[in-house]
Amino acid sequence: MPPTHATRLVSDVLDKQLVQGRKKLGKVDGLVIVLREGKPPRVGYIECGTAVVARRLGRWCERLVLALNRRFGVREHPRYRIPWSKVKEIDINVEVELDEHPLLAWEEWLSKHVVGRIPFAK
Amino acid sequence: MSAEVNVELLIGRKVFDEGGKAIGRIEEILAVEKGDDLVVSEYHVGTEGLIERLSVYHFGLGLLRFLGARGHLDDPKRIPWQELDLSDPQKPVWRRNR
Amino acid sequence: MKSSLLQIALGIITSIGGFLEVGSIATAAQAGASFRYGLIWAIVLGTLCLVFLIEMSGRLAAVSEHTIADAVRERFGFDFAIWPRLAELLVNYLVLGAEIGGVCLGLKVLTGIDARWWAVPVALILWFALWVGTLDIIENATSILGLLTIAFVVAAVKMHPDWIPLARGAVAPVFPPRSESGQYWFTAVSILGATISPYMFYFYSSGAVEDGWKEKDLPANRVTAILGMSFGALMSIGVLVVSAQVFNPRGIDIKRYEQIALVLTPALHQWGWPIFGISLAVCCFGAAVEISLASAYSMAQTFGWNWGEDEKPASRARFSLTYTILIFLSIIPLLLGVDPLKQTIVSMALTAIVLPLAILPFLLLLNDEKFVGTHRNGPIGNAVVTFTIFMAAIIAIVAVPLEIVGGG
Repeated sequence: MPPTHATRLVSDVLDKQLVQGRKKLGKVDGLVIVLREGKPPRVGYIECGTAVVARRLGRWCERLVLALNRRFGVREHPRYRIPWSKVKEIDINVEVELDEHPLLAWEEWLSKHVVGRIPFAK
Repeated sequence: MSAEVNVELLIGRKVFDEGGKAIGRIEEILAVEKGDDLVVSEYHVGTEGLIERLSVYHFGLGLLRFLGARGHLDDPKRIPWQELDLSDPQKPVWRRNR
Repeated sequence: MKSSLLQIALGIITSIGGFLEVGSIATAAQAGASFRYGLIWAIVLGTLCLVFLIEMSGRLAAVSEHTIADAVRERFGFDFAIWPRLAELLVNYLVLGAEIGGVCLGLKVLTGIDARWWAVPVALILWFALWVGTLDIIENATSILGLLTIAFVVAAVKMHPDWIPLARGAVAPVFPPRSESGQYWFTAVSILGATISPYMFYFYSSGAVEDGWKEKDLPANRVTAILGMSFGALMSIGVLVVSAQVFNPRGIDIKRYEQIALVLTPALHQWGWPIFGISLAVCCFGAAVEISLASAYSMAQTFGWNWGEDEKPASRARFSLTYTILIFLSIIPLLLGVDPLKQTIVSMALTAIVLPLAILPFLLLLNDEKFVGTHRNGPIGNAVVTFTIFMAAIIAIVAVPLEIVGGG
């Protein structure tokens, strides 16, 4: 018997737009399930970050991003995790409720160190 | 055992039966609410690759037929969560009687 | 809130910038010179397909508030989305170089100063316009200047073309002698490649999302797609017809842009030369704006970065850096002395190769209730997209061999 209220993790969640209200927070780059002995795997976290999408292209690509990350010290944790409990609604977007948005570390780093130094950027 | 598996890396992985024969690729993972958690209920293993994702069943099926695809496209195989052994996520194994 | 009239301006710039650009001017002029009215049908056919695809890009954006590039990633996944987008980025790089080359040639016609000297200033102006300008300002400025291209239609009418053969050429191929059929079909393919450009879908749907289109804007979207694209096609046909009147009787084949510059002189006399220069520069500039933004839009939407032309670059760092890097890299071939006409023709053929993968998602997305709700494609829309995909696939397969046979 197929479950009636099933969430399709690939079609409904992965790669969807993450939003909080009207604010866009990037896409669902990765999704982690936690295996448990004798119990069904639990959907644990949404993962976000350039390193996460890079890994989908291959290990080499991930390593490149991680190396850049270390070199410039852009973000503390290259993979940002959103616990599943923060997910409020799934429709065309995935609606989350976060207290902070460290998702935009690269955006802010580039803005501060590169783009912000070019005239008329602000 | 409390290992983590990335769904985005699991998609498209070949699933093998206990005899080591490939039976298809993981296309979709269904999850249902259980208490406060969302838990995996079944895996869809398709022989047509990414077809479920592209939801060929509605539109693309017609297109494929139009393009000359013969026969019918199989429904994906549904594997209950307890039957898929993910202890090596690189090589998921279908164990029928667990 | 914006009036519908203003919204239609978005369509007009898309038509001027995306339609009449270096590729279509070059291919239309070549077609007219070599085959008189025999290839007008290719412009008409390409435009028909384009009207449908542009309408769909706008409809998806208005109903779902998601762009084409967004929807492709969300619906088909990152692994599927990334490769076509990277291939398009490469093609866009070459097309952008060709458009900037077109602006430089237009300035050369006006000033006599060699095109290469203009490359860096033009790239700087383009970048600066995107860096400080908003979508509205750039749109309106380019559309108003772009109205000058009506000169091509005026000139075409003033030269008293033969209306009956012209009308025949618009509805069906006029087969040339066997020895010329390679070049005939190559030119047809180039016209289609120059007409149906993938970057227009990304630009148009992103513009619609930035402008906050909703379901109530669907009628305006339809009008924009039809009027805007037809306007562009009319200008393109104008170029073809004047070229047919001026070059075809004299048996002149077009090998260099400088030849095309003479096209308006018989009809508009001393005004012909400068009007051609300004038109070429403005159209190519508009196209360069669109291609730069479209590339940044599609990368940002595929990776999930912040994006938006109406925001300050500092708050859209990766988006702004993408077009910045692309613009300055794109002038390298020009600075190295690559012939702009050759680069244009090669990049049009490459556009044709990436086209099928760019249009295929339309078939699924515009029938997906999750994205378009009740505003799904009708049978005619689906038939046109399917036809376009097949046509694009055939073109992609034959573009390269035809280039060897007919282009050389």
